[in-house]
Amino acid sequence: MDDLRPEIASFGATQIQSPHIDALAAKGIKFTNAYCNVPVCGASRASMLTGMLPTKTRFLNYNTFVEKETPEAITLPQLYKNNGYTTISNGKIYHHLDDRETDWNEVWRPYAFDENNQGLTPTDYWQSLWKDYQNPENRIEYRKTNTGPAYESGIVNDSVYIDGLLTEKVIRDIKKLKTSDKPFFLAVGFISPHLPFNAPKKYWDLYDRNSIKQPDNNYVPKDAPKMSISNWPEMRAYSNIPKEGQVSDSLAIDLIHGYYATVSYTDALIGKILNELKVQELDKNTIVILVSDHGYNLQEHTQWAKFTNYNTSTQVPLIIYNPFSENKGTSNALTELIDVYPTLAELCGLEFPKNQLDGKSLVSVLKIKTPKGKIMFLLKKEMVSH
Amino acid sequence: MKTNDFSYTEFIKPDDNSTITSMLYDHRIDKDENNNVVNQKEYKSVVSELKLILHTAYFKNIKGNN
Repeated sequence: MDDLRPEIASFGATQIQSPHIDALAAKGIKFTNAYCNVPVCGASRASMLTGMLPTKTRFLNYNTFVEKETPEAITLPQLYKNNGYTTISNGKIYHHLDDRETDWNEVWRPYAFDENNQGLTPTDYWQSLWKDYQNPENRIEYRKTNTGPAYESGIVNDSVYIDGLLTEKVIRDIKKLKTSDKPFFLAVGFISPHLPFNAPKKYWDLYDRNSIKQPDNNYVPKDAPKMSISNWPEMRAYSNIPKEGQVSDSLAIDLIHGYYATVSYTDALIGKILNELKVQELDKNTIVILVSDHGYNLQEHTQWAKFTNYNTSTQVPLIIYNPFSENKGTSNALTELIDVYPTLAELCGLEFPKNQLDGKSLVSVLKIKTPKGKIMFLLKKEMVSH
Repeated sequence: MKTNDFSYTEFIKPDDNSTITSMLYDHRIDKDENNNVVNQKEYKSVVSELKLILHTAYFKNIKGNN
């Protein structure tokens, strides 16, 4: 998922309604001390899917290109493909749709491959409409100005927004994969809860606006370096957000409400996908991993969005459900996203590429009752955000 | 960097790798990171220890990948 901090009921954020993710967490192992290695989407995804740490010269920005920065790396999907798996990239997996296309048997994003009359490539066409407002006035504004409000309560059903379309495609894939005799690596990249917080109205209605609270620590930490605090340019690019200074308390509540609604919407979509796995009886032999590319700030330390070095930007939810394991519960071992690659590869019995992986498989961590964890590193360049 | 007990950050000038400023949050008592203790006396030894680990990793990383 994109921009999902551990704002999930089973991770202690009890104000959030996330029943389907919570059910998955209850069946598997949830990691309550998991961190990304760089808090911006493209770079973090590249790091996770190559199992390699960012350095001073690679995996630094949202527009990281794996093929250009680490052409020799055997990525996680490529490893699966090389081992005879069908690999499908649905939605936002790498930042760029046309990055490492050879890792996959199929690459798909909502709208991207539809015909367009502007002569745009699939990547550019997708880029031009992923902020898929549905309310008419917002659609007009987006078309005219290439931006719009930071959130929308849509009078639409679940399948209309871009992640709803994604879910329908994934369900079609699961039905197809059921009839195949090959194993599969099916990647589902929800854009939610990335800005704009667009979700059907019924998910906004799950929350009483009066019960939504701003964080207690809506101030710059004592003695914090000035340069550690983001001015959240990503959020300011939306039309109803001031270009400088803080947002009003009322707008802050709306933004937090929108984030909650979008998380709950995505949770419902995840429920649909997990249900289809069950219907097709693939839940018995499919490992499911739920992870986000980095965390998010909802006004903690005066900040919105990500790309800071604070915990709110770097901590991620991580859940691994392995139907072949009796282990379930919570691990508070310090873990990082570069551990995902060796963990999944070990669980599937795939041989690791040599001299590439910077992470450690969590499979042994799962077997120890009180794992100690380790030290982890992250690296970040300037305060540009996406 | 993040350890079980702390989060430690250095802001580094890319051209000469000199440290501009830094911050340390003690997650044992300050999970929300509201108080930067990097310059407080009682954390002096923690800072030197973390600084050494961070610099070793950072420079190894640069050397290994350039």
